[in-house]
Amino acid sequence: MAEQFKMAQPKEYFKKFLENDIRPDNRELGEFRPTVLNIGCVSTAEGSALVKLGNTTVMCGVKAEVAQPDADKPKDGFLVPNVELSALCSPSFRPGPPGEQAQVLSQNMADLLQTSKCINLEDLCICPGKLVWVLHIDLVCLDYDGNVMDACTLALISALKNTSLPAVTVDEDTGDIKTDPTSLSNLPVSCCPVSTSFIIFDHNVLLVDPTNEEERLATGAVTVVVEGENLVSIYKPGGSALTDDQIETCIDRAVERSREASKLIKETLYSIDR
Amino acid sequence: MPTDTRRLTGPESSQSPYNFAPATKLDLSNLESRPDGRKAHQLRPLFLRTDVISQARGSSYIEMNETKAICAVYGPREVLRREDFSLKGQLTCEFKFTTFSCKKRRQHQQDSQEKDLSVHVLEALEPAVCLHKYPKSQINIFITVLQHDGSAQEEQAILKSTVKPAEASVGCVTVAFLPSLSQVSAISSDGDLSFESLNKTMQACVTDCQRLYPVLEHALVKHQQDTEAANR
Repeated sequence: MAEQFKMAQPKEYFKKFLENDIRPDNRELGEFRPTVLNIGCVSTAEGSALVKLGNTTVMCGVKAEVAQPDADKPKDGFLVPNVELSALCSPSFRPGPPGEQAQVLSQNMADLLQTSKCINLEDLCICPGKLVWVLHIDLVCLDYDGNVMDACTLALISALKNTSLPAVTVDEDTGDIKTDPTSLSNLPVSCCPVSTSFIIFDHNVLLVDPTNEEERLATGAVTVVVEGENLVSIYKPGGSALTDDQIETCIDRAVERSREASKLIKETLYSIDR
Repeated sequence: MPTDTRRLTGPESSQSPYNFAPATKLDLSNLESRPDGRKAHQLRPLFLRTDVISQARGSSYIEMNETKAICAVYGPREVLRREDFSLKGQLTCEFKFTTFSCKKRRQHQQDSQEKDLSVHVLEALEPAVCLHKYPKSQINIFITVLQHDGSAQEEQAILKSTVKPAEASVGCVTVAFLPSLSQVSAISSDGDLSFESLNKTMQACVTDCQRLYPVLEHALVKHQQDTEAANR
């Protein structure tokens, strides 16, 4: 009976749960799904991480290459994040070039890296004006069950923290490049931005970490990115309007989430170091 | 090369730092023990799990030491283009390496090797799926290699879907075998090989396939038991 009710009137079905301040998957309104983090799972990549947020799975791999820097920024390296929502992860995606959503997510990741300044681009310099690192950061969604944004950020930061680069030297006179694959050094990551996504249900209820079903019923969405106690960005692409108080609740929840997430990253990194 | 406007692109040309590292050569002359300590005919340990993607009809994850792949099956769904219409069901397959899966970075677009592998997988699986039960519709298989350390093709075939495969088929480096029918569904062989040694290799592959079959069976049975226990 419940199944039919859900199929016929998903919104009403959902409201019945929300009346009791609970969601169909037994979560409270401000509760995240269990987060699983696996760092360094792909040995062919320079850095990698796998994040599971409930069913949503995102894998991030960092592949490092060397290239000539731009003439106007001779010391700056390149960070190239791309999000792939392949046809593998959900029946709603088709094979082919990335869709709008994937492009938006990729741009979000690029903005996040740029605004939070977690990586100093000058750290990616090998020889000024001649050679810099290019970090291709590819995020592949393996299971699409809502809130890919948060899973992507967590995977991105964890993979960067896991990245180690081989020693590359450029001979001053001849310009010859030499790589020593045995001596690896860690990439310095100065901060740890964490994003927290909410959807707005029925124009006033805020739900954190939405599943795919909840996202479909949403009348709006907000993503708050914080770094420790500091706000990095708020992204609210249209939808229902929110009051100041509601935005403040979102930020408070995001700060709390950031604490949980950084602790998780730290613990995971510690456990693989041993 | 045409520029990709839908992805963020880095500098125009970049290359792997390992191009400048001293080359290492793999020594395969010793048949008794390979560099990773295996014998010549020994398979790598296999880990297999089904139902890993919540959105898919059927899915599996396979790991053989350093080679990892994930596979999803969707369908039956309607055929998108009218030209593709047929009364019999259709099977499609897309094989993809993630960009970070190999030592050298791969491109986002499917390259010729991936297209080639897609066709191989498709050919190996077509005899195994009861396509006549799904008229006018399409079943899509997607395989993504997360990490590649040789013989990724082996993964492909090992998949399970709720859409009634007549037979789960087990692929081998070059031989795909249907164990309970005891039939070979596809063979591909590359390189210069004498007829005699090809025969011998095939024999070995078929034996290996038969040895993999229980692993596949076990994973499927375990998944079924788990779902039943969860429903109770």
